[in-house]
Amino acid sequence: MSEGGLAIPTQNSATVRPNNDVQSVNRNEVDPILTRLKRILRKFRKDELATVVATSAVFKIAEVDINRQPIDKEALIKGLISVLEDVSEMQRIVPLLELLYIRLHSNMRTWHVLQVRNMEEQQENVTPEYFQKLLSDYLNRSKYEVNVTCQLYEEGLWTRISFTEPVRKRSQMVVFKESTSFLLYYPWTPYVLYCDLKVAHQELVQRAILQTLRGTKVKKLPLTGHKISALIQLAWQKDNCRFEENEGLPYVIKKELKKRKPKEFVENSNIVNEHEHEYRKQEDYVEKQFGIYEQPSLENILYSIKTSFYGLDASEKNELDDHQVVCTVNFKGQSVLEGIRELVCQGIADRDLPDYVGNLSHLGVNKVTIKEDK
Amino acid sequence: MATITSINKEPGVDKVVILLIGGRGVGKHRLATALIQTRSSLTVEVRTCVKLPLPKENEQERPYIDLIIFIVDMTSRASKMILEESLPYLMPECFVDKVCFVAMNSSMVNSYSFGIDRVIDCGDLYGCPVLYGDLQSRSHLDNLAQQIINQAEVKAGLKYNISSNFVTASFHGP
Repeated sequence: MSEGGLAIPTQNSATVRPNNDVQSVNRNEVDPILTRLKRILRKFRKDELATVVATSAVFKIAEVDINRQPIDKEALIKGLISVLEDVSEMQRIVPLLELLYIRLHSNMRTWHVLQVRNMEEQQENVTPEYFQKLLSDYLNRSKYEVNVTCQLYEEGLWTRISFTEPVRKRSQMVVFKESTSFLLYYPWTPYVLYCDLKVAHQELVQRAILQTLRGTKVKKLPLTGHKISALIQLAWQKDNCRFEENEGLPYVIKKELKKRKPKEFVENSNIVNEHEHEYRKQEDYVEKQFGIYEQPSLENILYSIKTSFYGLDASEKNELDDHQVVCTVNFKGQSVLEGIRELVCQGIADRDLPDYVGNLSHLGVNKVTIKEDK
Repeated sequence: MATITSINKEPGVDKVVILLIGGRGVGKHRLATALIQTRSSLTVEVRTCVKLPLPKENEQERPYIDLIIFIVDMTSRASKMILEESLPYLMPECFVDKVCFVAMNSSMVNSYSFGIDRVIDCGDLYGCPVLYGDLQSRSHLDNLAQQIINQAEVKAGLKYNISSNFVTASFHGP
């Protein structure tokens, strides 16, 4: 969560803002923004700064040519900042840079999934400007000062929301605390992903999304992860039967969908598999259970059980309430679903898997409570 | 259960049947292809299976097996378990001159799931040779295939004045 404290004295703060001259502006206004701008630019790798220049209209390429000669990153950042004319341009570009950074490094954040039910069929109106305006209008009715920035990228609406609220310290100083969170919405799907959203803001944002998308209910799915396309695919597969390629799939799923490569097997009459029959049955089962496409990359699956001992009567159960069996199993890896499939292929896992293991890609969850005795 | 014994079928003429036993992913098919492509005076037939016992359905068509190779993947503990579970299904006479152990991925020392001494001890216990193989490079695989074919030729009696008992005796010494 990025938080910046802007200390503003409560008495007699004079602000002078001459045009085109950054240095003579009140230091209290410029320094925090400049610091923030430098901080976000330093986060990018040197090769990524080329993307920053190419995608941002503010940084004029004619003045900053990063490919001409090898210069170090700090000098490059200095050069980029020097082309900005005033504070307002800096204020405008910081949210865009943060959005760009999140897009390039989305795998480093933990994303959560919201499902909006019964949305009205008006998806063609959902443009970045429309989304930004409606969200901003609703959120600014709250006690926070909210700034919303929205960009369209590969059919997804990437949105940055910053909440600013005053926090009074013990002294006379009032500190404005700012917290930033990010939303991602793909029109034509009922799913909105978010990251870095404080618990205190969750309900407000959910109501804002409901209002903007004109749904009747918003539900948080027990599904979290780092890879956006995998989360959308898992949520989509929960509500849709096994799909065939190009059958109305959202773009974000389509582009990541990979058909499994068939095993390179050169048939040879001199090589005989003794367990040929068993092998064919296994292959058919795996294809039927897991499909012909690669599984979405889920990094974490949690199974939990909370139950009491068998063979106890009611009174004994009450006494032994503190002695319940609580068990949690956590599968972690690059792609846990692919790992489960591999366990079945290798014969390590039994073929008749329970629903919460074999059919996990259609449950739309990565936290499963197998049993919970109350 | 279909135990393997050496006395229930007749060996083929100028033909050797090699049985490769090992879990999925150990490289049986690649080794089988390398065995068939190796130059030899014999016709080589390779049969592969995941573990013993062999299915009873194929009992009638199954030819005489000249050489049994247990492939153990040094990076997989499950592979060692398959070896330990399969050995009881071999009749004792098979261990005289028909069995060989192959420690696959032996060069990946940092990825070993168990010590190589386990495989060597197994070889000493049953009096069977242990070969070392690698799937990483073609030349290693061909080398391993050539060693296996050499053994098969001795067992098929194609090497003049050399029998498998003679090889075993000279290996262990007086």
